[in-house]
Amino acid sequence: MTALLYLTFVTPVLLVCLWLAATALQAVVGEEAIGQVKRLARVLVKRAARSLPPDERETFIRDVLAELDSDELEDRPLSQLLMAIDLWIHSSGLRPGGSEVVRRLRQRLGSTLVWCSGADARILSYVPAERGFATALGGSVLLVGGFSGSAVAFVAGGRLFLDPPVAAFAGVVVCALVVLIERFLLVVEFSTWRRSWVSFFWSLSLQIMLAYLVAETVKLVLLQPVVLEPSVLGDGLSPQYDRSSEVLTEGVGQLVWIHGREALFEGMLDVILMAIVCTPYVALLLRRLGGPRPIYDLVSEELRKAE
Amino acid sequence: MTVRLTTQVLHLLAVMLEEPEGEWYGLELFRVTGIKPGTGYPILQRLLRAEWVERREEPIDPRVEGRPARALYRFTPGGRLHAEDAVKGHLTSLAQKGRLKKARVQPA
Repeated sequence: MTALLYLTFVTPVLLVCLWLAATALQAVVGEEAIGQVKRLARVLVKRAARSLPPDERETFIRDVLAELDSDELEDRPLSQLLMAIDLWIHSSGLRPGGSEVVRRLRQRLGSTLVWCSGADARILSYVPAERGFATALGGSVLLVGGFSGSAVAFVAGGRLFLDPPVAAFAGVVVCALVVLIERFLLVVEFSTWRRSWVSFFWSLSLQIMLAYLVAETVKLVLLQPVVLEPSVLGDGLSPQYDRSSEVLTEGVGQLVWIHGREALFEGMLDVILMAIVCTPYVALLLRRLGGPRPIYDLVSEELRKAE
Repeated sequence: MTVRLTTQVLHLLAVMLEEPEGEWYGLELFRVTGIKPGTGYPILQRLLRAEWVERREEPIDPRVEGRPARALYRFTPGGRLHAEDAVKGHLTSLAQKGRLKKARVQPA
């Protein structure tokens, strides 16, 4: 009934509204804007042609512009622009050997992300459909590592006043550690199907500890401006959070309110940051608990049996 | 010169081989194959560099037609042979893979 209602009434009304909106937009923006869009498309084509050797450039630009001005596209400035944007984005493919370099870089990045996810590349070669999931998982692991590493670098440089190279080194070390621990937990989760509850809780608690550590470090960076505010500095010399100054100046009720709100804010921040850190692990866990058995596990088991 | 034979290159060659003597303009090829221009133009440039295809300008008078002359692409004699070999090779390997898969699925 609802589908029938949509087909007979809502869809035609929506289409008419869209047509009216498009007509109104065209009337408002006018010919000048359409001309600008066409000009932008031409500029993008010329930019894309810069990837070509000089002797091929002129012919290429002439050919593509002739296509833009053809009957098929002449009255469709948006299509012209989309085509030009697509060409500009992929312009590295025009360079002799350029697409090869991009392809290799993509492959290298892809395999790094798959490694970070803890998935077995050999199994993925049998199950290419799972590669996207593993890549996304690896991306989020790397993101969490980078996130915590940069937080540590900021804390080391900004609060502990370490030299920038030392702070950066500390950041890199922490980033590598977080990625390795997260990867370890994912490897354990990837490699076994329906493990015992004990091992499940062990890896879950490790994951929560890691998430808490990362969250605390990131929180230091986020709350740093508050901590270093002159009004909450103790003796004015050491950059430490001294609550005694507040006790002297604030009423008890207000103090409880401020600290209560602060605690709530900190708690919420903890939960959000820990949720971000736990995302890859939880994604893998939900995938196992929620749906049918993933084909990755079936192939993994078959390979183990064959060996 | 060799051309890296991706699925999209093979698709484009297969479509062009449907009319081996025919001439195609870029948008027409992209419309038939479903390849986006950002991927299609670099493929055509690679085929041109490898001398698998050649281009010539559409024989029209731009003032009469009211539009510039397009570039038309067609196989060179050598390019056509290369393309036929590549597409046939790809189809054979696909068929072999299909047979292997079928044999694996069938019970012994």
